[in-house]
Amino acid sequence: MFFVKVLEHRIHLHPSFFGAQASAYILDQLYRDREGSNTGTMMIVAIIDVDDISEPKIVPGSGYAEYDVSFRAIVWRPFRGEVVDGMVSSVVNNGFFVDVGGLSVFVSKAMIPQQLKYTVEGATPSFTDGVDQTVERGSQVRLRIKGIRGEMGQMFAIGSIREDYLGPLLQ
Amino acid sequence: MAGPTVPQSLSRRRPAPTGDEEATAVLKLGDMTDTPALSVAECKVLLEQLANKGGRGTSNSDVYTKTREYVDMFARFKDPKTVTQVDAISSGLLAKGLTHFERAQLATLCCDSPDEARTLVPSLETKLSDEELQDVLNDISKLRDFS
Repeated sequence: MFFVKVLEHRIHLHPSFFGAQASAYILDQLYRDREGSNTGTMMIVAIIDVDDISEPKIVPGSGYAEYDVSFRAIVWRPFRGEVVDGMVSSVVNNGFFVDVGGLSVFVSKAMIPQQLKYTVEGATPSFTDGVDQTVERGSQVRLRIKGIRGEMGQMFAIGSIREDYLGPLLQ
Repeated sequence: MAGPTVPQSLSRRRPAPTGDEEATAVLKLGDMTDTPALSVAECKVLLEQLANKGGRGTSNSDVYTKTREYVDMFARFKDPKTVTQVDAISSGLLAKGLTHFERAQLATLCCDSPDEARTLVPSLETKLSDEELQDVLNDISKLRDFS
């Protein structure tokens, strides 16, 4: 789910940058550090604007100036139990991977309804019931996120399509 | 540890997530409770505006590129004016006790029936009557872009 969140970031500025361009340098540093980052629980997609840059405080001992910058950003945070749409990126024999924005969700065979069976046609593996529902690379699927694990810089998730109204979307 | 090495963190430690956040029949959103949420279409419009504004609008990071592709593909409403109309319809729901999360989910998932909406967003169970929910869903589907 996308949110517009006010976040804070602490930036250290080396004394060689103290000057007229200090605020421009701080903004550069902020964008470089935070935009596109993955904190393990959420992804910062884009910074909207900067609310406030605090007065600098010199760090005793090192001479760096410390700024607390408060900014608004579009963040994406998945929740356990949330229903999301995604595109299938690969199919393996015990499930398939779905790309939901920057997150790759794995749907295992246990979380796929019985009717959808793993079949390989030519070189294309897919899960299909032979009639109208097919899940293959490039299909759009609606799934429910069942579990999320986060480490610094990465998120892993598992999902399920074994419920009403979930599964491949009609194109 | 797997993954790219992260430089010694210079920012203050973020509060550890409690780990029990979930969006099932009960919404426990941790520090995202009361944060305005965006549906996929709204996010698409906002990202486009930020990119067009110039300056630092776009970035080359993986997260940004994949998110832009994702919202372009899955936005149910392509036109910014339509998105504003959907926002107006679903904002009426905030006054009826829905949270930001539920409102954004309804605008993103575009359900056809109250049953589908309640199944996909379990926390809606007791918050709206069937007729109210059906009315909102009908209004939203009328604005859908099937191109």
